[in-house]
Amino acid sequence: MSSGEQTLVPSQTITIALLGNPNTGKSTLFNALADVRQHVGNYPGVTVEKKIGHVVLDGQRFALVDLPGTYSLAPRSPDEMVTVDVLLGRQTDVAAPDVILCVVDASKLERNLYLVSQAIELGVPTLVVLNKMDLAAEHGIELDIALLQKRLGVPVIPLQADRRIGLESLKQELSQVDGQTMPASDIPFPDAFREEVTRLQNDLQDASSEIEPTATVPRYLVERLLLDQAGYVEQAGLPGVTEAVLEQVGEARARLATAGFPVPAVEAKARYQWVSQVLDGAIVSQFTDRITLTDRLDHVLMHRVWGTAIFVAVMVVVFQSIFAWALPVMDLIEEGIGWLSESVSAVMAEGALRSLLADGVLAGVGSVLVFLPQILILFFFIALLEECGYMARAAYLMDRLMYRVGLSGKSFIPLLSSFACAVPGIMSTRVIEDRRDRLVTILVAPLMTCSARLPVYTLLIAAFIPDRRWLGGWLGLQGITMLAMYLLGMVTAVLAAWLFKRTLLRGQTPALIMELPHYRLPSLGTVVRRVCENGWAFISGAGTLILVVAILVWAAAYFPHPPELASQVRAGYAEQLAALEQRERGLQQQDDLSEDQRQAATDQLLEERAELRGEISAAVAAAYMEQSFLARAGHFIEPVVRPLGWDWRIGCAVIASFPAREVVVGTLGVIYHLGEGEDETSESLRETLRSATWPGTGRKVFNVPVALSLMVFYALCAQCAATLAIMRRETNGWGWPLFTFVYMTLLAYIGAFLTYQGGILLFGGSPVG
Amino acid sequence: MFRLAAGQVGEIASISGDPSQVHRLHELGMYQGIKVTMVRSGTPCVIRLAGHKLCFRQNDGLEIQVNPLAGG
Ligand SMILES: Nc1nc2c(ncn2[C@@H]2O[C@H](COP(=O)(O)OP(=O)(O)O)[C@@H](O)[C@H]2O)c(=O)[nH]1
Ligand SMILES: [Mg+2]
Repeated sequence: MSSGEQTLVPSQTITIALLGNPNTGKSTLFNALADVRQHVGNYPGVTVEKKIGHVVLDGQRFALVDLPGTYSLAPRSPDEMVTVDVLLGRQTDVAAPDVILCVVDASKLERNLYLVSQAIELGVPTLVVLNKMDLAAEHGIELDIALLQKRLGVPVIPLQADRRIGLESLKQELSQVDGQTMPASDIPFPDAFREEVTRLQNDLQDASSEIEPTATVPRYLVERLLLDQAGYVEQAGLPGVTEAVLEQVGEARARLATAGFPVPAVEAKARYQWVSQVLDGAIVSQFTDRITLTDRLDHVLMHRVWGTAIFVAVMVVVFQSIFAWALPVMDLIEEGIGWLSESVSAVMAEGALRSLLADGVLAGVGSVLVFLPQILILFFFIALLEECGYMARAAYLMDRLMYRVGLSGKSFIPLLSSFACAVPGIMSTRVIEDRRDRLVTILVAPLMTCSARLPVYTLLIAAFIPDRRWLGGWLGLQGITMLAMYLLGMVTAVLAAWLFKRTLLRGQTPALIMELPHYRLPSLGTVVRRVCENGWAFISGAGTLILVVAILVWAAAYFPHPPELASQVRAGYAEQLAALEQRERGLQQQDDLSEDQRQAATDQLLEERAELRGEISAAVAAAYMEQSFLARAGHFIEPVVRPLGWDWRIGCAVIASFPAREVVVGTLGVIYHLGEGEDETSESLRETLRSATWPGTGRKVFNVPVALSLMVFYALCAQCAATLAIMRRETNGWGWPLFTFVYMTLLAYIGAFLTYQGGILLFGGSPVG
Repeated sequence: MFRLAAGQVGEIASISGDPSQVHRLHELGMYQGIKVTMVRSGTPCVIRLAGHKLCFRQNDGLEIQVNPLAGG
């Protein structure tokens, strides 16, 4: 049991745990009740978010704990075990709940009471909230609340959480809980079963008292041990759960089976028997077999042909809006950051600090912010589709397709979202219950062509792929190359998923068992809340890492920065500058010119001067880049990247773009002697890349195979700190992101190698290295 | 196997296979003796039971026996 000091909550507060099936309205109720909300990260070791809210009623402080939705208290995963641990007070950093608030969907009472039947066995005072009374009424369900209350032995409060109807009576009821009244639980388990549980509990007590005399295993967990074959309790290493005890469990199950009470069916039977006893007469009336609006909608929306067509249309609209709405905002953000860094440069003296602020911090902040519009819009659509109930239909429609890959239909939307950005894609994998399926989806999501790859592709395709067109301009080589890059990512993802499902994360064929909720108009408030929560999770989860990495890369590109280098480079231009000044002076002395002629000549000179200045500062920037640690790293890895057709400068740019892929464009600009601020559409960057040569030779660095190998590399590599950070957050550790980075980088290297060498064979050209 | 055609009503005779999938179906209200209506047959299939709809896929891990009931 956790003690007062260790917990997040002072001991005189009453802790209330919100328990219920997914989608019953726990979070809605949590938000309606709590005055102060605290988001306290994850529970240790799992990806379950810990949300605690505070409220004061009648001078009494309450702490609310929002638990993840669960259909039962039979833990099958570490995540579900958290719910059980919190409820039993076995989670050390949350106080044992004084009250369980069981949120029940009144329109699906029978199934929801299954969980209630488990909750009241925990021996904690319980309140039952009948939420969604409006939906129940819609279904013609009329309930005898007083009778229900009598049968359950706990207070029952009807509610409509999203409209806050009934909230007052719930508060009233809460302020009266004394923590004494225990629910009357008498689940009709057969006597044979009860005896086995008692026997097992004694065995466990004996076994554990040898190791830890004070440790006791709650009766509820003993029941679970007996009921859940290969369940989590077996593997969780509870005190006393030894090989010998597990053998006993097996024997007990065998005895029960011969007595006609096979595990686990005995549980369903007993609990639903209890449920029907409770509900007998309490449900006054109910429509049966009525064709609802949901049924009519499903008739079309889940149709193999029409449903699929509508689904495709919906996705097109979603993606269209992402690009249509996000791009202008992204441009604005980029301009804003650019303006800020210019202002910084203008007001601060030249030096490391200015460069750190302008090129390190601001650039880092920029690379976090620039994708935020896209990410938020995606979160918006995902929340919208989930809230209105369409998501489950999408999973149904896509299941056949995904099943071939070894995943379930639930992986489709996360993977599709990754075409815009892998971050929301990875975060939306939470709907996938199976741990292995979820992991595989997370691992392959970054292979989907996200929008950060577009600048790289755009630049290289425009510069090196000939603009050949066929079929009256409809089919172009450049377009085909772009399409090939998208396909490459997709096909690789499919193959990787297939491979992971057969090796690393081998498991049963992915299960698909899900509820199809009723369609409903989504509430804007809920959608907005989810967008904000997810957006914040992205910024806090990935922001710091991106910033740190951006600053590290900046430092590598800046230092050692010998101050005399700039003047040395400038000295090299002294002659040109002097010549220009000479001409200026000459112009002043000439007095046989008309005003217009003089003006034109002056303008001409000014232009030349500006051009020369630009050239000089680009040369200085390039000179500093060339002596930086980054360049040394580039030289160092040159032997490794030569087989890909790259020179050290490309190697440098690839290293520098570790925080975010699109950074490669800017870095290529600097390193091939161009001022900063180049973007993928700039004509001169393309020209510069086209004309870059290997040092000391006239041989061009870039040709078609080199450009293709660079594109293939960026299609397959994991150069995105945000993705890796979100992966760490969602998998709770650096192991999987590290693995992803390694496997994708290897894939990218091999892909680029094959592309270049194959390209050389096909197109000719001399291989280097 | 699931032999019900769309629109047909049946009674669950038994559910067996991967314990966690069987368990999940129990929790979702699908257990021996309950009446279900097939809404969409095939894989995955959609059934209606006690006022709500479930979608699931029968595969190597899950086997469900039903007795078709007349009518429906
Ligand atoms: N019709 C109706 N919908 C509700 C009510 N309370 C919540 N909802 C909706 O039910 C859905 C699930 O709510 P949420 O709080 O996320 O459920 P959770 O999964 O239990 O946390 C949301 O779309 C809510 O807007 C209610 O009283 N009536
Ligand atoms: Mg919730």
